[in-house]
Order: sequence, then structure tokens, then C-alpha cells
Amino acid sequence: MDFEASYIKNKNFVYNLALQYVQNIEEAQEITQDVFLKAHQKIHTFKGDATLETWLYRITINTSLDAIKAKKRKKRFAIFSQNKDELNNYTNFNHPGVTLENKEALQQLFSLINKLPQTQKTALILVKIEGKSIKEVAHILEKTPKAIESLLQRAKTQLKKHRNQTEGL
Amino acid sequence: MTKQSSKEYMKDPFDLLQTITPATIDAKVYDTIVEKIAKTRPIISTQWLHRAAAIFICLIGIEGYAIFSETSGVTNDFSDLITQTNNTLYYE
Repeated sequence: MDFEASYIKNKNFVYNLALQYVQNIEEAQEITQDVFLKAHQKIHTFKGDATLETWLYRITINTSLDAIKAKKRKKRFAIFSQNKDELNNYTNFNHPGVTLENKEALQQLFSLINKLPQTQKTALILVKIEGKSIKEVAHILEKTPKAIESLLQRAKTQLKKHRNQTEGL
Repeated sequence: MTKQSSKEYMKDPFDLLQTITPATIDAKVYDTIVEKIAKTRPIISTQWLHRAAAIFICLIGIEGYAIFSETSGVTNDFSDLITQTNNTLYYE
């Protein structure tokens, strides 16, 4: 399959997955560009033991997590206070898949999800937003289905804990 | 339809996530990717670089072999081929 055909086939899931990580159109577009650029450069390392889609899922997850790390690193240099930082997160929220009536609630929910550890966040996004089965997620993340279930359970517990902390403030 | 608050959703936070609809990517993103690929493509192909490196290594090898054989004591001078005449006069 040539590059253009594989881009047309996979562009939307790559973009949407990136969107769930960064919740911002411009950043998700940049991640999508990086994913396909990496895929083009590293296609010779694709062994075919997984499908091209699974391989692209892995690249997208890693690229999104790297983009978030880079963003955090940049913010660390800024001298802004904690509250201003959180305000920036809110103003950056620009998710085209969110309806106006749910925007505020989802913005709050994503601010809590963004505090979760990387693996928990990834499992949550893939299962609850992307609608992947536990088995599929286990294959993508190279873990057992039980490990994914455990990650989801821990994510749910952590979300409740974070919510209580936020309400307690 | 009444607007549901975030706290109500947080009873089962995962329900709210399922309301997110898939988005479509801007068509210009593909053009940007193609531009980036063109920029990262090397001017000289790696195949030619490999060939040049192989030739260079061969030349170094030949040079090394020539130096080694010169110092090994075997003389390949033309002087060996020329018969040396004895200029000593007899009955002198």
C-alpha cells in the first residue's frame, strides 16, 4: 500500500486518538503530521507481526505522550503560578468532538484524566472513548487483558480521588 | 433537554466520555506532511553513500597492502632485473 492510501485509511483514527490526549485541534494536527512522518521514515522497521493499524496506534500513543511531556517541560520554564497554569489548560481546550452542552463538564473531566499516570490514561482513552475492546487494547499496549482491566479500575479510583480533592478545595 | 452538570456525570465519569464524537482532520494536513517528507529526504541517496564508502575502504586497503609489502623486505626494484657487470680487470 502506498503512503497516500495508508494516510487516507488511517488519518482519522490517528487524529482522533491524538485529540483525546491533547484536546486541542492544532496540537492534534501536529501530532498526526509527526506520526505519519515517523511511519514514513521507519516503515522498514515494520516487521508485520502486528497490523499496520496497531503499529500506527503505538506510534500515535508514544508521539502524543512525548508531545505532552514537551509541553510540560516548556511550562516548567514559565514563572506562572499553579492557578494560572490550570487556567491555561482550560483555555487550550479545543476539542471538535465535544458538543457545546457537554463542553464544560468534559473540560473538567479531561483536566482530571490528564492527571492520571500515562498507562491508565491510555487504557481509559482506548476503551472508553475509542471503543476498543479489552483484548484489542491489550494487544496494542502489549499487556495482558487482566492488566488492562486493572489499569481501568485504578483509573476510575484515581478519578474519584482527584474529584474528591477538587471538591474539597 | 436539561443540561447535565459535571458532578452528575462524575457518578460514572466514563459515560460522559462516550458522548465524544469522532472529528475529521483538515485536508491541508496531508500537504504539510508531504512537504516535511520532501525536506527530510537526503540530497545524496544512502545507496550512493554506501558505494562511495566501499570504494574508499578498498582504496585504503590497497594503499595499506602496498605499504606493507614495501617494508616486508621483498624488493621489487627493477635493479634486480639488470645484471651487474664485474668491472674488475683480470691479470691486473
